[in-house]
Amino acid sequence: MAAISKSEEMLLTLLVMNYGLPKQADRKENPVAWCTSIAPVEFLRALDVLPLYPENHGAIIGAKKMGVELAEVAEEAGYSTDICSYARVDIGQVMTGKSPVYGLAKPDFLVCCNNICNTVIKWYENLARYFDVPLFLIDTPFNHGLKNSESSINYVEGQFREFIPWLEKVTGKEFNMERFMEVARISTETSRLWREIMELAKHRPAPFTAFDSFRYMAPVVTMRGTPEALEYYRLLKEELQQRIRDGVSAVPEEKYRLMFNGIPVWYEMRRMSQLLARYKANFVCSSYTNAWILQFDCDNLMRSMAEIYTSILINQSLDRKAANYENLVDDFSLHGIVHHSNRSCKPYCFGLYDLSRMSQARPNAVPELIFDGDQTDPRNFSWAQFENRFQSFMETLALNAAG
Amino acid sequence: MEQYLDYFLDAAANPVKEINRWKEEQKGSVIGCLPIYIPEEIIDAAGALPVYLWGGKTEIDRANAHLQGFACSIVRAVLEYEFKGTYDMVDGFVFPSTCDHIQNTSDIWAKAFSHRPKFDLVYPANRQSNYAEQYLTELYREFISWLEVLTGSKADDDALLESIKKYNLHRRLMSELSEIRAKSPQSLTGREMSGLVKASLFLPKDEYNSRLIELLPWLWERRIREKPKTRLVLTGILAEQEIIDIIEELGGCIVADDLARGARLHRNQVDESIEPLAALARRHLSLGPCSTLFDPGKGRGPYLESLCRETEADAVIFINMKFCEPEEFDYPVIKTDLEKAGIPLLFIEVEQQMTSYGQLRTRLQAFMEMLA
Repeated sequence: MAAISKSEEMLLTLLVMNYGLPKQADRKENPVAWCTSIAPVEFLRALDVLPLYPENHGAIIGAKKMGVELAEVAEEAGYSTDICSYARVDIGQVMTGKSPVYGLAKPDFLVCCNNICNTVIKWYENLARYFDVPLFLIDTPFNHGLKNSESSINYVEGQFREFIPWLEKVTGKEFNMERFMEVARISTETSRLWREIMELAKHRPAPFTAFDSFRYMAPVVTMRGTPEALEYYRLLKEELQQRIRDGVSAVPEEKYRLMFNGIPVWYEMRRMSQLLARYKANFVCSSYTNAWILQFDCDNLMRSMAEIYTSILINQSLDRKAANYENLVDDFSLHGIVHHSNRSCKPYCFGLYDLSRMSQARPNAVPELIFDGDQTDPRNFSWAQFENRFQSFMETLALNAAG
Repeated sequence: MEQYLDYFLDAAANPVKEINRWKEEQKGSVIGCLPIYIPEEIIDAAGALPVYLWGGKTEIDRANAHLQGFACSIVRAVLEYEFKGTYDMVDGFVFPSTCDHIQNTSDIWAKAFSHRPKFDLVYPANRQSNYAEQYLTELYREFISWLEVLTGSKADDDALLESIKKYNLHRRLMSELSEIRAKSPQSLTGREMSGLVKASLFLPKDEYNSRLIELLPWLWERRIREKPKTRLVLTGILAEQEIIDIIEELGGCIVADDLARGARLHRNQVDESIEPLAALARRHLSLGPCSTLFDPGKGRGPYLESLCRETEADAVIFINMKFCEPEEFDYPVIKTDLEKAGIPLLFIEVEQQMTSYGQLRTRLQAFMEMLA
């Protein structure tokens, strides 16, 4: 077995740091905040608040196959099985303290940004009640058109301006604008590297798979704005570039290049990657990992942050989504798209059927597959059904390739 | 007076006919509003008729090609009705940002029915922000312009004030109706009450108000049944007629509700003394408690407690609209709150397309026996 690479070693260290440190954190100096996955964490980092991410933790719970056990605890307490499984497993871990890692240190306050869904508003309301801690909501109005309206960006920027004194109050610390600018600069730089890394998979054959990037993404999600995360992506990018130079293909004899649209099926990562490899197929890009490409204009920081955090693709119209996917087909030389109709994530999957029809109507259309599943709750997913459907999908691709 | 009541009940049973009648007589535009909290005053001030679209009982067929089966039955039914042509008399549609189901259905709608005018009311969810009012006022201004294009008539401040007064009166009358139900439950049946509420979702308000004003004193005095044994509060999105019938057959009586298609619509008045759009925005920002409105204080449990106290209710029935995440997040919290307050609570689950109520009846029966 090959020795693990430098970047892999650093990723493991970062993960241990992220999940191990909070337990020992000096709570007076470094308050802990729980926040949603694409919240403007730069404000928190600037005050040395330690952000923790129930969704990221939920993904780990899913990957370690603890989803059902923890979801059932929430269901026992009255939470419907219809509710997002990230929320259910989080409530389960809150109630039991069970976790495949070190658990999440209790929050001193909560930060919720609804640029990913409105589920998080309800989820965080309930967390605020459970922990009896303050909650700040950053509301990023959904854009049904092609462009966010001026007034909605004014409103988001206004909330940022209110967020600062609120944070000063709950942390007892003074907000330092220069420090904030520095964090935002590091964050932007990290996002730029993240984008460049994602784009390395344009190379044929791709040096990594989306299953790899679902792991690579942890620091850009949970440690965005720190020098450590930036350093990690520098290392990772160099290594991946080296792999390209060495002609390494993540999937031996890569033949089919696919996009994965949706949140991963965390508890089936291994079987799925093996299945794809069997067909010489690779998920070379995913809409999920792309969501953390957040590059701010540091000369006009507040405005630009308001615009960028509101423009998360899942918070945008079908037209915006379709335009984004259309580019990916050409940029990544895709042969097909696989959509996860994810019972947990309503904004990701309501509209999927139409989105697929929209791309089918375009000249660069490629075959698409929509499968039913759930990000963390295996009770809503059938491997046999998925395998079957994926096999026929690959047969279609093979016919296309032969034709 | 009985015929006044019949007027409402007939209308409730035939919404399409009533809406078409209005359209024929007034030559005006009909605006279909998805739930909940649409500033109907603005639509009224533009001379159009706001009608709420809450789905209904229809077999889902073509909508299945656009929405997964785990979308709530309201949005699935709304899509299906449009495919079937049920909404042909509607000239424009308003989609508020009530929940992820409605918000995302709006985009699906835009693709499936691109020829149909639609306006998205993306409300400010952060009701605590000082910037929310300005954002909402600007949104209402855009709404006025959209309506002007559609109807050819602009909702100016004078028209808005007049409509605000009309709707304030309407909300007062609906509150009095609720008061009758609580204080004099012998006066009207649950079926009649829900007919009155249903008719309020699409009848023109001046007509509705003037008839209800006549009806209310008569209702206070009316006695059509015995004093009820079991007094209940309903909470949830909506209560289908079948549920209300079963509850009453089992000897229960609904003395109050906290339903989205019900009492939640008639809370809070609009300030008539300030600039109309700011007043409308302020009403919206002060509404609640409601599962669809940000509420970090989780006020719905305490609200239900006080509603039970005020109306001397014995228990609460939580009617969950299957797949309604906002409601489903509120339930565990309400359950804890009501347990602490010693108020019995029953959770039942419904879908608009359901046809069999046998199981629900059994559960309701067991609950009522437990209360007796």
